[in-house]
Amino acid sequence: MIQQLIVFLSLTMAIGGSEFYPWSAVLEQKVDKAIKSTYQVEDYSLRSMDVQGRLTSTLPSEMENSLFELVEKDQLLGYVYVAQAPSMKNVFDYVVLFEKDLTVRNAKVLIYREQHGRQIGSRRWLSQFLGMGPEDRPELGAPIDGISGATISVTNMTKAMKDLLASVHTLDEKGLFE
Amino acid sequence: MYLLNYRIGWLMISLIAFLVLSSAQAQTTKKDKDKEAIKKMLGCYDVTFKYTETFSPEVDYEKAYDYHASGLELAQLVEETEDKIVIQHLLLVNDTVVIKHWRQDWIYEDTESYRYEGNNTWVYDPKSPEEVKGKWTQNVYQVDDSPRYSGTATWVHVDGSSSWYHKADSPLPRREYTKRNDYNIMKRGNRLHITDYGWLHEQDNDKVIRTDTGDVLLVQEKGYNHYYKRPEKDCQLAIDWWDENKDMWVNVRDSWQEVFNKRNKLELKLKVEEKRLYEHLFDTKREWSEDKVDDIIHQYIVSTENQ
Repeated sequence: MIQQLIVFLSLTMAIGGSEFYPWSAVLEQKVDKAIKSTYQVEDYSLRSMDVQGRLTSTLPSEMENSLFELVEKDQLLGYVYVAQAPSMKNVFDYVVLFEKDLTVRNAKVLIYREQHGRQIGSRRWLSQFLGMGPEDRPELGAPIDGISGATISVTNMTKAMKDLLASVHTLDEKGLFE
Repeated sequence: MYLLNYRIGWLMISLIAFLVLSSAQAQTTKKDKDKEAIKKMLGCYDVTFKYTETFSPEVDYEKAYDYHASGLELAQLVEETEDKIVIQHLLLVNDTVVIKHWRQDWIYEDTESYRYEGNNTWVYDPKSPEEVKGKWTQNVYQVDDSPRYSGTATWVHVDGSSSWYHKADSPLPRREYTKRNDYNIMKRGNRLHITDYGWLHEQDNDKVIRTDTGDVLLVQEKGYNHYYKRPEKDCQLAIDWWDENKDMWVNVRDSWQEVFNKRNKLELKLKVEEKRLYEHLFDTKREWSEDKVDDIIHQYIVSTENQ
């Protein structure tokens, strides 16, 4: 019985592996919407990227189960990173969508769990990260503008982006994106 | 003693009669003020339409671009009785073309209105005389005189200005119904102000996703439609156009009224043979007999089910 279950689970993972995202249904829906609107695609798949053995423990960002290849009909469209960062009293979920050349194509806050600091979800503020690449290290004030009343979330999102770009830089040097 | 009681009795009767008459007079005055305010919306106007999305409960909602438009518009009195005022709006485009625009009917103490339910369906929503006492119902119709939304509220006259407010469910506005499908109900907060420059249609709208499990707010919206008064002669083209075409639209209104008189749930098709209803009715080259109007309107009715 246990053997049958293991076989069944293995087969299921093999067939629909890319559908098993480590996210809630709501977050999955929002990631899907962000991908479709950013890349103008309908049918796509996400492939989890194997970052094991590439000094993940020394990377400033959590990369396990967070970084994905975005593929449409076996053609690589870019990379998708989904993670959480702290707000004032809770955490928020965000997605960063990369071009194939690892520049940031879009960044969106997907779920925000408190009233204070919600302004970081504005397209206007997040657009400051667009076009940045693995060499960039954004800092609040240079060149990222703050938002009055959202200091903690702005600081944490800026740090999250800085750490992510540094991590992507390291992983790129290790050959992950080749 | 008997004479004194008799005199006191008469005094009391006179006092009561005075109070009743005064109250009736005050009521008439209030209704007249209401009608005066409604009719202040008549005339020729430069209109500016401005809408901006404001707050969304979802942090990842990307606000739509602001909407700005303007035009020259005539608000033409079509019908006036003791308890009803009908105003037809006509747009003038490039000072050469006239387009029949929306229509607003105002009915005093109306118990017979319809409410938008969603999916291009309106439900008959009767009210008791107590609910509508002293109130005016604004029925708003599409350019083809099919229903849009309806609201019942009191006209308020304070500090020298008049206003009216109601919140009503409605289909998507014309500016969005061919462009968006991410919400299906607009809860319109309609506030009308009579101003020194004309009038203002101020809106606080909720764009809502309605499903069988309930309503979910997508985003809120602020809107300002300013009507700046212009001399009547500036809309002469629209006045003449209405004179030429009004008879046909009497038939259209009558035909719809027969449908509304059934007091049933009303579901309408968006298109018939790939055409919206107004695309048929705006064909002024066609001879529009009463029967033809009736026939075309009925082609758009999916059903008028008993509620």
